[in-house]
Amino acid sequence: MANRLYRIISDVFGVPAGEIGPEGGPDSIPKWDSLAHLSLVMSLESEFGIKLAPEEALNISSVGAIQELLEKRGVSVLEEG
Amino acid sequence: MVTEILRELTPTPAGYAKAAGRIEAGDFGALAPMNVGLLATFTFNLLKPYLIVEGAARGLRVNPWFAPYDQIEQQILDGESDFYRSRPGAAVIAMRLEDIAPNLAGRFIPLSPGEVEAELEGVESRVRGLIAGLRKHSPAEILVFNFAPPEALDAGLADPFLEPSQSSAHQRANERVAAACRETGGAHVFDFARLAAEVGLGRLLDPKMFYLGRVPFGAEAHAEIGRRLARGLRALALPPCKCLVVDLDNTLWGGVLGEEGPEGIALGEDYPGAVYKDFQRRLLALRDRGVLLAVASKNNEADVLEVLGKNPDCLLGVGHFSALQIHWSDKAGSLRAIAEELNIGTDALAFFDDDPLEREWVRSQLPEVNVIEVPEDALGYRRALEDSGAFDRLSLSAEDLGRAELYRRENERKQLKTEAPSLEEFLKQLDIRVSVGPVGKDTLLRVGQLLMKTNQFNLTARRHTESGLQEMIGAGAVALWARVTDRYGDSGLIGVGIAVRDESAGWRIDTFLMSCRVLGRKVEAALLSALARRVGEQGGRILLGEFIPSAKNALAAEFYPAHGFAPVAGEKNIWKIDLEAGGIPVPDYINVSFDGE
Repeated sequence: MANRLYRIISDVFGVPAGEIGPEGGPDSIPKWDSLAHLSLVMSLESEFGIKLAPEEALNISSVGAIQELLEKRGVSVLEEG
Repeated sequence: MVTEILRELTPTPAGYAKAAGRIEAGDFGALAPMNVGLLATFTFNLLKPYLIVEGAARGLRVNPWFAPYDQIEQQILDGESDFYRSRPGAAVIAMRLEDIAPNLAGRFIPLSPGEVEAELEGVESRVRGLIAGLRKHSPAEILVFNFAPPEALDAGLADPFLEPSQSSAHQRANERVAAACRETGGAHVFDFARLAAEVGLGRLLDPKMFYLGRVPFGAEAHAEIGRRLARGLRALALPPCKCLVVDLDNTLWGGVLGEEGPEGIALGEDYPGAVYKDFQRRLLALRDRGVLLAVASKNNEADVLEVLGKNPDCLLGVGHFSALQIHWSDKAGSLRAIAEELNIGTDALAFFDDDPLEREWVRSQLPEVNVIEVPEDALGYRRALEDSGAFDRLSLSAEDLGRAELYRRENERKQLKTEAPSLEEFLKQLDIRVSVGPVGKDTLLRVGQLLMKTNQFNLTARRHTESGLQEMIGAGAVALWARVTDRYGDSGLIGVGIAVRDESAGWRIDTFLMSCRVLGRKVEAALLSALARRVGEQGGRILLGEFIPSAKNALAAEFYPAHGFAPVAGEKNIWKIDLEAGGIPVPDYINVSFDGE
C-alpha cells in the first residue's frame, strides 16, 4: 500500500517519497514556499476530490497536519498497488 | 521519451508537476527550445508545469521565466532588467482589466460615456507603451492577453440596457488591445476572452486562490491556459500545416461507400448525416483560411466521384480538393504523392482519418506528418480538428514571417525609441502614494500577519508575535507600517519597519519587510527613509541595518548598501548609516505622508 499524500508531496515539491514524514514542512522541504503551498492546496483538492476552506488551506503547514485534516474529512491516503 | 512522459501524465496539478519535472530534467533533442518571459498583474507562476508539459506535447521545450508580481513596466521599460537577461524568444503579457482599469471592471455605473472612452484609451495606451517598450529592447514575439468578461456586472440584470453596457465596454477594451498589437510586427493577441467563454467564468476563477495568493485561476483553468498558450507559442515557433489530407468513409460521411453504395451513406440534414455535413462545413472554412484540402482514401474512384459530383448534401466537390489519391494502395504512399503534386514537403501535411490503424501506419512511415488524433465518435471530429492546432496562425498576415519580418522589426525598434515611455515616466504617472504611521492597536493584527508570512523581501525574518510587538513598542522601539495606493487602487498595509535602541546607544533595524506585491516601485525606500527620520527624531545618530539570509530572501540582500548604508568593519551582513549626514532619499515620483498622529 502506498501513501497517496506522500506521492503528491513528492510530485509537487520534487522530493523522493521515501524522505517524507509527518514532521515534514516548509522548513525541511526547500521548495515548500508560499507559492508552492498554493500548488499543494490545488493538488490536494483535485487528488482527493475535496474543497478546503481558506483557513484550512492556510493552516496545513506540515505533512502531519494535512494527514490529520484528510482523516477528519474521511479521506483515505492509502492507495492500492 | 517525451511521448512516454505524456502518456503517463495524470491530468492533475501533482501529475503536471511531476511530468514537468521529468521533462525539465531530461535531454530531449527533438524539442525546439524556447525561452518565454511571462509578465502579469497577478500571480501567474503556478502555470509553469502546465506550460512545460503542454509545450512538450507540441514539440517545444518551453523554458518559462516569470516576472515578479505586478512588475510589467519595471521589467519591460528597463533594457537591463532580468526579463531581458532571460533572453526571451517570446513575451507573454497578462493583465486583468480589474487591475489596469478598475473602474471599467468594478465601478462602471458612475462613469459617463466620455469617461468610459477615456478608460479605454488608457488601456490601449498602456498596452501600446508596453509593446513599444519591448520592441525597443528586443525582437521577441509578443503575446498580449485580452480580457475575460467581467466577473460580476455592476448593473446586474440591467447591464444590457446601459449605454454603453459594461459587457460592451469589455469587448471594446479587447478591440483596443488588438488595435495596439496590430501596429507592431510580432505582437499578437492571446484570446483569453475566448478561453474564458469556452471554460466558463465559474470554472475559470477560483476566489480562494485569489485571496490567498493573488492566483486568479483554479487548477483546471491553469491546465487550459497552459494548453492554449502552448498552442500560441507553437504557432509562433513553427509554421502551420499547409494541407489537410482527409479520409472519406466515416470521415466525410457516415458508412462505407463500397458497401452501402452512393445512396446508402450518411450525409444530410438528420443525424447522423448532419454531423458529417457540418464537419464538411468546417473543412470549407479551413479552406477559406487558405489551407489546401486533399483526399487519401481506399475506395473505388468512380463511386467517390459520383458522391462528390452529384450528392447535393456533399458540400465538398472535386473542385475543393487540390489533390485526390483514391485507390487501394497504402496511404503513406498517397501522402507522399500528394506532397509531390502540391510541391510541398510532407512535413506540411496534416492527416485526418477515423481508422487508428491508418493513423499508426502513416505515423510510422512519415513521422513528420501531423497525424491528428481522431475520436471514435464523429461528434468529436470538429473539436479534434480545432484542438490539433495544426493550422494555427496568430494573425492572418503572418505568411511572411521570417527574415524579412525580422528586418522590418529591427527598423521599427529604431523608430519606436521616442514612443515608449521610460520606466521613470511610467512610475511617475502611477501616482504612487505611501502613507506611513506608527504600529498601534488597530494595525497590530495585520502587522503580525505580515511578520509571519513575508518571506522574500524580509531582511531578518524575525517572527515577533503580537504581544512581543506590543512589548517592544512599550520599550521604546520605533515601529512603522506603510500603506500604498496608486492610480490603480489601494494595496493596503504592505510594509513594516521596526528599529530598536541597541545597548551601545545606537539604533538597529530589527525588522524590515515589504510584501512582494509592491516591489519594484521603491516603496521600500520610502519606508526606510521614514523609519530613519523617526529614529533621528528620537535622538538616534547611528542606525544599523542587518540582513539575516534565509532560503527565500536573497532579493533583499543588497537593500541597505543600495540605500546609502556603509559596511561595518568585520561584519558581513551589517551596515550603518549616519543620520546626521542627511536622510535617505526617496524618488520624487513617490508621495509620502505621515499618518496617525
